[in-house]
Order: sequence, then structure tokens, then C-alpha cells
Amino acid sequence: MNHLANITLKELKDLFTPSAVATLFVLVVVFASLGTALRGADEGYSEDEDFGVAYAGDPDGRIAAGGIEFTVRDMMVAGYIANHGGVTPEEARKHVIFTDASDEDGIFDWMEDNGMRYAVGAPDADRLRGGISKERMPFRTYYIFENGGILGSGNSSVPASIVAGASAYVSALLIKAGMGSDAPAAVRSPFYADNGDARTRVNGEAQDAEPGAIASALAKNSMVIPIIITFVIMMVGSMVISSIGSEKENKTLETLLTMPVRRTTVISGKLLAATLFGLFYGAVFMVGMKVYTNGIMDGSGDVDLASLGLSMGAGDWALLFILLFLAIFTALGICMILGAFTKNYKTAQTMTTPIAFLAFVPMIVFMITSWGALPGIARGIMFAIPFSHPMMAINNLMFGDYATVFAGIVYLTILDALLMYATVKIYKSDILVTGLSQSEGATRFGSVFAGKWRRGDEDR
Amino acid sequence: MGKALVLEDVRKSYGGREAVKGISFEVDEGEIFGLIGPNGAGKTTTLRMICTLLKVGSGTIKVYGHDVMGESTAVRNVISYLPEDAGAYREMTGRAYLKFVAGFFADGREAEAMAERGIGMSGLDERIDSKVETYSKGMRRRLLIARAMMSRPKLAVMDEITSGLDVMNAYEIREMVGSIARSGTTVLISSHNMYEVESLCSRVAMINHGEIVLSGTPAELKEEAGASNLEEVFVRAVRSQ
Repeated sequence: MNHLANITLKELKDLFTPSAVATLFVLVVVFASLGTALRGADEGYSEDEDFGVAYAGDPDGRIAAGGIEFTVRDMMVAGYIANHGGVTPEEARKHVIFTDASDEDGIFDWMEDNGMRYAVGAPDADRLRGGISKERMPFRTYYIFENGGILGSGNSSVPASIVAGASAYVSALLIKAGMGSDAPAAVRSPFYADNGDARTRVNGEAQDAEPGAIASALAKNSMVIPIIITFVIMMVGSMVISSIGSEKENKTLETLLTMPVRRTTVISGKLLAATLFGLFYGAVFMVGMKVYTNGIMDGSGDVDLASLGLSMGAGDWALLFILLFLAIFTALGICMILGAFTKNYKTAQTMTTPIAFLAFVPMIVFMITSWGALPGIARGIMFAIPFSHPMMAINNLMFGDYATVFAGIVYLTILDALLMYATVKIYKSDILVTGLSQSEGATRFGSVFAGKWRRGDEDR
Repeated sequence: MGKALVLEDVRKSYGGREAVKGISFEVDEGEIFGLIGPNGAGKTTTLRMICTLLKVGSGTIKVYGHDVMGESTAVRNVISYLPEDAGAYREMTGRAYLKFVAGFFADGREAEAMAERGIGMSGLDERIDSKVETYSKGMRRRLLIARAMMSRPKLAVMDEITSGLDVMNAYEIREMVGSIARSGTTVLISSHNMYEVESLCSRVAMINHGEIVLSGTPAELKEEAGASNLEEVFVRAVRSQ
């Protein structure tokens, strides 16, 4: 074997450890499962979803104008079919729902009652008769905003393309009838969805904006917070594990543990310092990222979220701070436990993988969607991951989902207490000094929790 | 003369492997006691149990009358442990490190005085204000021995104190240990260096496969084995096992 092959083989053996391969395998499986679970977050968004049409008249009444005859229902069903490939006319007719409500509140109430996110206001019969082939006529767009993040908050292209389909249907009739016009655009495209005049109901209040603009405004927070928390968790976690690995390598920990100081004091000191550093780090990062995103997202900020009740009060910030504190504490608890099994600085570096994984998964999920839009299984997974809670907190607080926020606080508090208990147990055991190398695997690991000191160990 | 350290039928297992198999020995106050044995014999495990780092499997260990299991804080107040190849916090200066450690034994002026005593013992002069990471191995060892002794422990436990040091540094460290014992501190050392053990220790115990196989003064052991030095005693004892 030549020298290069010899060295390469040795390095590959070092890199492809069973734990590295297992981590990779788990990563792939979890991401694949998550992808499947998340499918529900954007499905049902345009597939088989009811579409509302506000029309002050009989949708089945025939409109005769410009040399053609059509009904508003046929026109809108044609638009729906054009936007939903493969749907039959019968199915489309079930999904295109009409109302004769003409005022805005009435239309929004009707949409909410029928679980619709999209509706358009069609011109009335007189306007259609008078305008066909003479002018392009606007359809006003109405949206019910759903807290679905970038992925599922609603898309202004849905009514635009349905109206475009309806427009094409009428245009085809006009062209078939040989209709010429002084205004060719009115024949080629008689209607358009007027998203410039869009109305969106958010939290019961109407806003002059389409949902994408509101989602973008919300994204300033929903994208920033997960990134910050991921950085804080990874930074602080890595520091703690490395610190313990380094202390073990230099035997400073061994020395420290023989001094007249309780092991719980050593643990608490390390946790407290790292938590304070994490909060400071997070605060600095938050300010920096806020300025950064305000800069890059300038232009989408014309939506007044505060006027919609989508803002954070002092109490909300306090709850976010509590969640952030608890999540950092969770990360540190996990890292302290992992750190106990490290032998040196080098092995400590590889121990950060579980923490990185637990931070990256919710970061990606909550950058593209929200807690409210997650289907059941994905919700369960996200709730179980401790770092999800501060990541989704701003969105939940803005939309008044305090139940999830408080459930998160309770969950993290219990988890932190358990982690603290486990940390103290492990740090009082021999494993801290011997590692697992001198153990007999699970038997020994289990004995940490099952076994008690033969005589009192209160002084430890 | 009182007993500084008493071990009675001490056992320790790692999972199913018994590393220490019922050892017993005593160390008198003010003496330098040597624990010798080949690698993996159970020396470090024994020292770690004495210093409250590892649980005692069975048997008892008492340090100045305090049980290491039930009174670990009391034990830590009177001992000082220096592990093999121990280091100090690399980013700290020698002075900051000694002050940091002194804070665990005393408060205020007393801690200041303890740290100053450590600075003097280290003999590092102006280098005491340099970062530990810039120290040579010998300097680091002197700092650590000063750290171990500045609290005036009743029992100093030192594992391979001169391992890896050059002749001059090893000589100086041995001088420091001798001076510590003359000041009244009991010293328990573990070493592979038979010359070091013979020149420093008043009594020696040899451990092999987790059991005490020899004990006595260096002179007694040499006479019993008919050997000219402790190294020969060691080799014969190991080969006969």
C-alpha cells in the first residue's frame, strides 16, 4: 500500500466512526420524516380549497354583452379549472362558492364561516354588461390571513390566476364571436385581480395589504429569532462542552473536584456563567440581526402590524425572555451531560452534533412556516424539541396563542429540572473522572441513576 | 504518632473488572509514603479514591480520621491532590491561578496571603504574571506544587510528580517535596522512578494487579529481596507474580 493510501485509509477510519455514521443516518431519517410531516403545512393551500366569489346577482343568470352570453358561475368555474389542473367541472363547481354579500365585513364573515382564505368581488351584472369588450374590469381581492409563515400564509397569485382563467374564458368567447374592439386589451383580457386594492383580514381586522406583504413583515421576526437562537444555542453549547473537555484534558477538573467545593457548586457556576453569556450574546445578536433585516427587508415594511394587534407588549417580551432563558439552560444541561463523557478537547467537539441538530431542525421549520400551520405529527415533534419554543414564541405571542407559549414554559421548566437532576447525578458519579472507557456500557451507565452512595454522599 | 491515612480492605471495580482488590496500608503523620507499581496496577485508582474523586467500592479510607465517603468536604479541607500530567488554566496568569485556588480555602486577606505564599513557593519570580500557556513543563509543575502546598494541607497526594521533567527540574521538584515534608505535611506519592522513591520515601508499598505485594522501608525491602536497589526489588516482585 502506498503512503498516500495508507494515510487516507487511516484518516477515513478516524472520520467514519460508528457514532458519526449513526448521527448521519438519524439526521437523514428525521429530516425525511419531517419533510413528510410538513407536507400538510402547504398542502390544502391551493388544492381542493374553496374559492369565494362575491357577486351581487344570480351567478347562474345569463349575461349578454359584446355579442356573447355567459354566466358568472361558468366563468369563475372555468377560472378555477385553469388554476387547478385535472379537476373536473363538477368538482370545480363544488369549490367555487358564491355570496351576494356586498359589504367588506359581510364578505370576510362569510369567508371565515366557510373556511375560505381567498375570495374575489366580481363586478355586478350591469357593470359586466356595460364593460365587456370595452374596458378591463377589476376584481377586488379578499384574503383571510392565516398564521402560516412564508410557506402557508396565503398567496396573492391564487385569486390572480383564477381571475385570469375566468378572463381567458370570456376572452375566448369574444374572439370566437369575432368581436373586434377599439380596446383590444379588453378582449384579450377582460378582467384582472386588483391586488393593489387587496383587503386582508388579520386577527379580525382588515388591512390594505395582500397576505404576502403581511407575511413578509412578520418574517422580519420569524426569520431573525430562529437564527439568533440557533447561533446562541450552538455557541454556548459548544463553549460548555469544550470547556469541560479542556478541563478534563488538562486535569484541571480533577484538581478542582478535590478542593473544598461541592460538585453541585461547580456545576451551578459553570451553568450560570454560560447562561448569562448566552443571554448577553443573544441580546447583542438580536439587535444586530434586527438592524440587518430591517435593511434587507426594507420596502415590505409598509404593513402596519401594530394596527392589526400583531405587536409585542412588555409582557410578551418578558415571556420570550423566559423561554430564551429556559432554552439556553436546556442546551447547557444537555451539554454538561455530554461534556461529562468527553475525554478531551477533541472529542468534545464531536459532542456538539446533537445540540446542532436540535437547533437546526426547528430553525429551518420556523423560518418557512409557523406553529399554527403545522400538521399534528410535526407539531408533536416540534413541541418535543426544546429549542422550538423560543423560536416560535414571537409568532404565537403576536397571534395570541398564549396556551402554546405557557405550555412551552411548563415543558422547558420540567425538562430543565430533569436535566439538572441528571447532571448532578452524573457529576457526582465516577463517570466524570473515568468517562465511559472503563465502563461496561449500559450496566455502568444505568448504575449512575440506580445506585446510591454506599454511605452518605451529602458532602459531594 | 497519629495516622494520617488508613486504608482497610479497599476494593474498587470498573463494571466487572476489579481494579483494586482489598488493599490495606497506613501512612503516619509527617512521613513521605511511596506507592509504587507497574502501569495499570491500581495506583491512580487508589489515589483518586483517597482524594474523593472516585467512590470507594468497599472497605474504608480515613484521612486524619475523616471517612472519604461520608465526610468528603472535611477530607478535601485537609488534603491536596496533584494528578499526573496535571495542568492549570492556560489563559490565566500564574498569579491569577493561585488566587483562584486560594479562594476555595479562604476569604479576603487570608486568601491573599495564601496566594502570596504560593507565589513565593513557586519561585517563578516575574514569570508569575505570565500566562500559564507560556510556561515550560518544569515551571508549570512548580506552579502546581505551589498550588497544592500553599493551603498547608495535612496530606499531599502526588501522582508522578517528576514525570517528563529534565534532570534539573526533577531535582528541584524533589527538593520541594522534601521541604514540604520537613514542614510537617504528610506526603503520599506514586511514582515509577525508583530512585525518586528510594531517596524521598520513608516507607513504600508496592501494588500489583490491584493488591499490595510488598511494604516496608526501602532498606527493609532491599534486605528481604537481597537486592542492591529498589528497582531490583520492584522487578523481582513483578516477575514473581
